[in-house]
Amino acid sequence: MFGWTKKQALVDLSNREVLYGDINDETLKRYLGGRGLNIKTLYDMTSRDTNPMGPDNPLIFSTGPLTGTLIPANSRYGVTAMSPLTGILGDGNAAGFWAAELKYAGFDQLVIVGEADQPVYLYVSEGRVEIREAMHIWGKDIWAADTALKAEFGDGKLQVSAIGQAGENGVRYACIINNLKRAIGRCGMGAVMGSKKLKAVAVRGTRALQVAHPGAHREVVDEILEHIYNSPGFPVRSRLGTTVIVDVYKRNGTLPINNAQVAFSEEISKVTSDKVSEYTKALKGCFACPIHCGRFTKVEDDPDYQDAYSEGPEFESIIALGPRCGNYNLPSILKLNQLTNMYGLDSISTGGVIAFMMECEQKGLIRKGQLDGLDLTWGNHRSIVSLVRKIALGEGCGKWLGQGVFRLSKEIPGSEAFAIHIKGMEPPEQEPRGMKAWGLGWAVSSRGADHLRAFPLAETTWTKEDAVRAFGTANVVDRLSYDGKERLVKWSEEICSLADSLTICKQALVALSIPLELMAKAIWTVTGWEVDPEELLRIGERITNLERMYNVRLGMGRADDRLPKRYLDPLREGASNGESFQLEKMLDSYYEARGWDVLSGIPKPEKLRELGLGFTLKDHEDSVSYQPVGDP
Amino acid sequence: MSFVLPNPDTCTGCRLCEVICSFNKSGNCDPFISRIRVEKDEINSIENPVVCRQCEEPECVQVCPVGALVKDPFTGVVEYDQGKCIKCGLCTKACPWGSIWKNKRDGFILKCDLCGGDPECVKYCPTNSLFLANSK
Repeated sequence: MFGWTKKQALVDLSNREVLYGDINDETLKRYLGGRGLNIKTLYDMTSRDTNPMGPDNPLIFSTGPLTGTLIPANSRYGVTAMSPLTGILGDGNAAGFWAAELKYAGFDQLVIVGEADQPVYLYVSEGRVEIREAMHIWGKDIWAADTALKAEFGDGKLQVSAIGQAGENGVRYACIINNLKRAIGRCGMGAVMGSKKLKAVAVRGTRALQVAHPGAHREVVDEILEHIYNSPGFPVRSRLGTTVIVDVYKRNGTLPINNAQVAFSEEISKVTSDKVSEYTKALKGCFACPIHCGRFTKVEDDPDYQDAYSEGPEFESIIALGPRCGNYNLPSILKLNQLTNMYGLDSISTGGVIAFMMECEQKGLIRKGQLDGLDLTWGNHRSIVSLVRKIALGEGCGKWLGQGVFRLSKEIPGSEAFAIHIKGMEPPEQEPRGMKAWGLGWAVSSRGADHLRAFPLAETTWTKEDAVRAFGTANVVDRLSYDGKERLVKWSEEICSLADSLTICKQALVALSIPLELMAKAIWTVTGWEVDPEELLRIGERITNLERMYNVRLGMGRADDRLPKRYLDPLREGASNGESFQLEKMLDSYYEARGWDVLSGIPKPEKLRELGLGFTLKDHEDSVSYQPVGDP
Repeated sequence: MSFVLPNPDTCTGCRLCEVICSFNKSGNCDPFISRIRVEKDEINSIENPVVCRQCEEPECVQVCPVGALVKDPFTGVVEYDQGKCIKCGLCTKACPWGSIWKNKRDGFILKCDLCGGDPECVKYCPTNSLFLANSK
């Protein structure tokens, strides 16, 4: 089979050893790569006793069979480990140019264990991994580290995936970044990397990538490109990227403002896509991607923030550090985008923490000025910028805030009612009461509150005809209806598991709806492996179920699939006025659709066996919260 | 007389040109041997696609000691004859555009040959930032 290199490196930082191994065909066909391959590795290598910040927690980087080929939007990689933020499955997925370089350097997967005694970085090239000293770049922000490494190698094509000060300082929501702003954002993967004293993984790929059927490969690439360019969503995605989502959510009244106290404000007009466009200097694209949904923004004329420039910001960052914190000062948001990219902080969790603290001050649960004298009035962007610096550098109150909302709220009595998190992770920037499928997706996501496990864009982008054909009811595209959403979320989750494992960008596969038939053909032209759309969805289902069993083994079940209290109250403003959220019946339907036990939320043995996950059954029986309900 | 003229201002830096060029020449996805290269400074938002300009009076042709580089009078393409090449690398030093390279795998030369008149990179660039320019 082509496409995959089938090569894995096991890097032991404690003993400064690298072992090279082969990944067998069967594993690759069952899990593909990226997120799928990684969960299999994580499942095999960890247990309930693994310490997320300890040497036994493997930090796993991998990419998929399509990466580095001509298939559009393929250069993505996944990083997986047990999360120090949530204590359960952690992972992230990023694009840019790093993943393709890893493939050209000869690897599908790097598994990094142990802890170095001094800061190190990895240099990956020509099928080898070297462990090198990194004292000279430890303490630098990510952009400075990237620049230094490129200069050291005299090679502008070196691709660097690195942590900043936040990861070095063990901030529980620190992230890993490549190409300026492409973030392995969530779950604190940067903290795991920092705990290993691993500053960066630098890759230079100089090998040719062969495909199984070159003629057919070009044909399917042309077909996919034609589909993309003619897709109704292409003009907006290619010009405005994710910034357009601000406009949509404003219209729908589904933005989390002031820690999700309200869902709509006229002030949002200050941060809509047209306002971001005023600062946009150029459009940017990831490796071999025709969509170029990215942008470079720069503030040129502002009293406070005229040194703000970066690629981005994306929708989530605009809102998390903006309206979520009552902040509508766009230049400050661009500055915060730059800072979180340089320091390596997850903008979503960072915004979640700051908004939470602002509500604590608003409600008198902390004293005014308790956080190093900073004023936490909603919208005080100078304070937000100060807090971001303190959190990343571990200075003053920053050290305390680096724990995340879940742990902070345990130390602030009375704050639980508005400590918004699911399974320990801060939520993304949707208002689930106005987007029922997204709320279900948040509740059941395998890494905590997250928008990319389900990412059920169909709820607001498909026609009624499409909805009826695929899910049996037009209510699926009524964002306020509960009807049929469990089927939409199940299918969406499998598409996303697939995307994160092939690897391919969700802008292409989900937002621009590339048909699975074309993806199956694409896979055949690259690998030589004949696979059909049903098999692809089954792989997606397998990955989703294995992630579930990973968390079940850690004691998770139905009780953890919840929405925070705030979402039980009805909204009082905007286009989703009056909406609240009834999760329980949705969960019942979702578990049934998934073949999971309705009372416990645990996959039934016959479903696991059907997917070839029978090996999880013995751990299943040891699981503390497992309630055998009507099973043999 | 034609050549591929890049527009650095609209280039998004995606490097699809590098993949399609190498694929067209070798059947593999192999930017390492692409005849067009995008130089980038991400922090300063600079993308600079570099590709042979098929110069009217090519420095590389002048400096080649064995005549392995010759400007075709009809197509205008500066053609490379690998059979004559002695891998001295003088052409790579002489080019004012830095758009002729040694293939680090075998020491021979990589430069744009316009794909016989219908360049692939021009066709595939998602932002039409590569233009088949005619100098006459």
